[in-house]
Amino acid sequence: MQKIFFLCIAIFYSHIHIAAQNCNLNFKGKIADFHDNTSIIGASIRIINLNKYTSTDLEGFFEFNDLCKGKIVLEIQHIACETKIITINLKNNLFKEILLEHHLEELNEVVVKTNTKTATTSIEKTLSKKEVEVYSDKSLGDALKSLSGVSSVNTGNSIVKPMIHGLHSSRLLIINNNVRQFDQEWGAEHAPNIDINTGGRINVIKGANTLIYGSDAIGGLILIRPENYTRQDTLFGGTSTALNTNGWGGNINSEIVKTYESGYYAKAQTSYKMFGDFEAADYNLSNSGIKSINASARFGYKSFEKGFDAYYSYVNNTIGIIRAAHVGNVNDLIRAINRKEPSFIDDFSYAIDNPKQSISHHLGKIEAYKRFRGLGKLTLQYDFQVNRRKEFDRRRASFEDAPAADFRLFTTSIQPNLKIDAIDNLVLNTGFLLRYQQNDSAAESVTRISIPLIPDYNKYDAGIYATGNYKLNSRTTISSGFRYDFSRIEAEKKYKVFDWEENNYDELFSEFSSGVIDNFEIYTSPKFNFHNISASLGLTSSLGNNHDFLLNYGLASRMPNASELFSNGLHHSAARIETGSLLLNKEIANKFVTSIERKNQNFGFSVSPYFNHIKDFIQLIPAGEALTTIRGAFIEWKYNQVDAQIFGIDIDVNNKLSDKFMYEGSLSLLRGDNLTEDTPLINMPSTNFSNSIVYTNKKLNRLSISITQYTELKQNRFPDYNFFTFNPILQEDVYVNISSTPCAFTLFHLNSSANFKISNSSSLDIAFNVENLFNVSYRNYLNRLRYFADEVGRNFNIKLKFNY
Amino acid sequence: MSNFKSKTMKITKLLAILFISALSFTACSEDDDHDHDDHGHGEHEEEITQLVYTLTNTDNSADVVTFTFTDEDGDGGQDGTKVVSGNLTANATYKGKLELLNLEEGEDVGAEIAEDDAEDHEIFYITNVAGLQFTTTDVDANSNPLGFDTDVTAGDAGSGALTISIVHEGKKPNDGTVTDALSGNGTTDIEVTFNVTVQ
Repeated sequence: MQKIFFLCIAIFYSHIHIAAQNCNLNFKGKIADFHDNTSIIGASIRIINLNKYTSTDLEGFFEFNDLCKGKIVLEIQHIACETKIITINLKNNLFKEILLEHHLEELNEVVVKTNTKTATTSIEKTLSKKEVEVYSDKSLGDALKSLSGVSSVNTGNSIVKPMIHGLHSSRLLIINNNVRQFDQEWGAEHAPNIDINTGGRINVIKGANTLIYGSDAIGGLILIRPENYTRQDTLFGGTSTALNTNGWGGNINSEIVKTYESGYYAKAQTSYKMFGDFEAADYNLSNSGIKSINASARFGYKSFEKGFDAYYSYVNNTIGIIRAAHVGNVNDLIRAINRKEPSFIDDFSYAIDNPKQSISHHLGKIEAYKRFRGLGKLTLQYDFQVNRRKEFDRRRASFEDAPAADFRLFTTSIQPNLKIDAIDNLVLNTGFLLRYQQNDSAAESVTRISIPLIPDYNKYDAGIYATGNYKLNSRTTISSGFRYDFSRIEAEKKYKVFDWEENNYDELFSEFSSGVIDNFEIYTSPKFNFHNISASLGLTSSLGNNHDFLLNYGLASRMPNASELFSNGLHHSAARIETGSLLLNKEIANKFVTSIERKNQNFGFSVSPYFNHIKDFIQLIPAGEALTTIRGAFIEWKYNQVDAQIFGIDIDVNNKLSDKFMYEGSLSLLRGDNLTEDTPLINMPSTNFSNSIVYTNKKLNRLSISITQYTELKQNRFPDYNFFTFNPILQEDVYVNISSTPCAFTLFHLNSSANFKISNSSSLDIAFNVENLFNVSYRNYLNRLRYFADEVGRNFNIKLKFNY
Repeated sequence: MSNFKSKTMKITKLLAILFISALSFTACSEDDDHDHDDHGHGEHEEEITQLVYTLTNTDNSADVVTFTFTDEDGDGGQDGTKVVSGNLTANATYKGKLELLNLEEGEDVGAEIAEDDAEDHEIFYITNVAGLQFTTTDVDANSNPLGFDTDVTAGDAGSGALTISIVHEGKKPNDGTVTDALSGNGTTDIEVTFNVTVQ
């Protein structure tokens, strides 16, 4: 101890000694980014041992004067970079260039960076974590719908499937915390089983140019980003709750995050959501409640050189489907369509009766990376998912507890990726994917004449890809990518002998038949191989004055999913029998998207036209005929393939009106054509637009009040699949009007929020919202239950979020 | 360097543990009540593959007319077939008996409904033949009409259609018409139409 003391004194003296000798040295420097050499503005530089400060100017330069000869310890800090400490032995005047690691998106996310894009050249829209929180008690689909070009396909009000540019289900890739979500997404009535509170921001990529995730993003890609944490010793969290008058329910979400300066971090989150029957403008939507239990945990280590991330999430949803939507046959359906109100309206209740869906989803992944100097970053990810879906129908009393459909889908994959960023202005990504998927369908009934909607199958995928991003000059970046995927599906399926022969499968696919026929059924094992090729090209060019021009081209191909190939059975919700086809080929889409954007707080806009041509587009349409069973007639919906084109334009505008007032507006126009049959495409979103005025006062507890108008026009372009069927009760032919579209509607929403500081480290966010302010009764073309009931009416909502 | 090595070893070990736990986890869910509780034998709703409506002349037991609908492969597949064994005798009275069967299991589903779930079902007989009348004689536990047993009166000669409709969870009691029974949340479980001739 004494020794150290003396040593210190010795150093102290020597310092003074040196200082006395020469203390007029000048030290200049420049701070630049390690990767692209761009200057870093506003970095703070501190000489730790002298406690002197300065910061870099607009060109990245800094200067210290009157320094003494000797050792100086520099600490360079920049908000978007890792803090760097270097020691310099100063002898003469010195100029030094210092490089900082500028990998913001990978290290931390403390800054609101203007560019949060997935790829520089991609055309995309983003919902920030804050914007996502507004929808904490709603679904992913509800949140995404607020973006232009994104709509949704609904089944009632709690089953909301996102739709990008008119396409949904298997045509959208949903990447949940870096894992491609597989939750029987093929069905339009299967909403993504994702708790919106688990992630950070969400990107919607409208172009198909993110081949790292898959080759079949014909419609686009939804990326639910994990949050990033700073490397410091902190413990923080938040608890939020939302209460609603419509459905008399809400949610509670709690999360806690612990981070360490060493780079380790851990997070735990859980949420519970419960709603009773929702209410339309004029009546109760009986049996429309929802219960949802979610939990997630993450643990990892992050540094510039290496790290890992382990993540697990569990989602359990029980969703009621309005009782009135259960119909016995086509004549029941006609009665429902002709009635103005649902056939079953009961008092408010929290009970969720049949029909209902009960789904659980487990998702786990582990990801590890290592950075190699002069090469790039190697990432390895392993993930698995288990999705269990049970659908309950109204049945005879003693069978109410047995699901009418019961599937379990298991998916696991491993994917290494190598990112090469050592070459100036060029970033390359290459990797491969191996995936195995297994579906297990519990037979609907022990009686063998009942065949599950989706058969048991094994599916194997292997893919390989390479993408590149090249910065041509300071204004222009181009990107391109290529991907090849091989898929093999091996199913074990029973067919009714009659269907097998009627479709000519006995001749076309005789190799699939086992030859075993038992009680009107034939045992078959269809096996298919698909080779998919996809490619992308992108360009972004800065036009100056905050204007950007982007152009994307994507070639995507998608193999038919299990539902399209094999589906075979009855859906009571619309008196339909859905039939797949073994004859389906893959879809091939060529999509062009371009965008002119101006990112500016005072006046900004984006105008983004697109054109998508899809060869062999797989659609599910009413085949017109009614199929006669002992229950009466049904509508047979069949999958077929046509050539299709979808084009349109998305426009967003924001304009600062004054200090405190701001205008935001958006418009989406879309047209879908069935080129083969020269008719409009079925289930395409109609023109919609919204306008909102936002008042904000940062000084007054960050008060924000906004009023939003949202209008959806009537879809006048729809294919007419209406037909006549015989009604034996009325003894006459009746018109089955299943194609006509509902009227236009306009909704107004009021949102307000404020933030109150409680202590230095805690605050309270309070929000009060009114949805559907004028309690408008309306129906939506893209709601599968539009025949039976109106959409949800007015709702008062209060949200509290306590940050600590 | 050795420090780095031990760290990578740790990460590798952790990865291995997670991988294995993931596998065992999925292995657990493999038998997650999948084939046991939910799908135990005898827990299932048998599909009705045959409907037989037998009318026996109250004065002449040799005068029997049956209306049979058979769809052995169930919903989908081949359409069902309808067979009417003969004509009804004008101005005669019949006792009607309806049977609902699952041919594959040899199960009398109609008897099960009558026993366990009669309050949620009602059977209607609808015809456009003048003078042909159907009267339900059996009742459920709430003394509301059920419809497996009927008294049938034939009027003058004529022909037309006979529809047998079973309403599930319909309005009960109702005004005796299928329309009223279906005016609430009732749905159609069975709807079969036969040609009927009285001569």
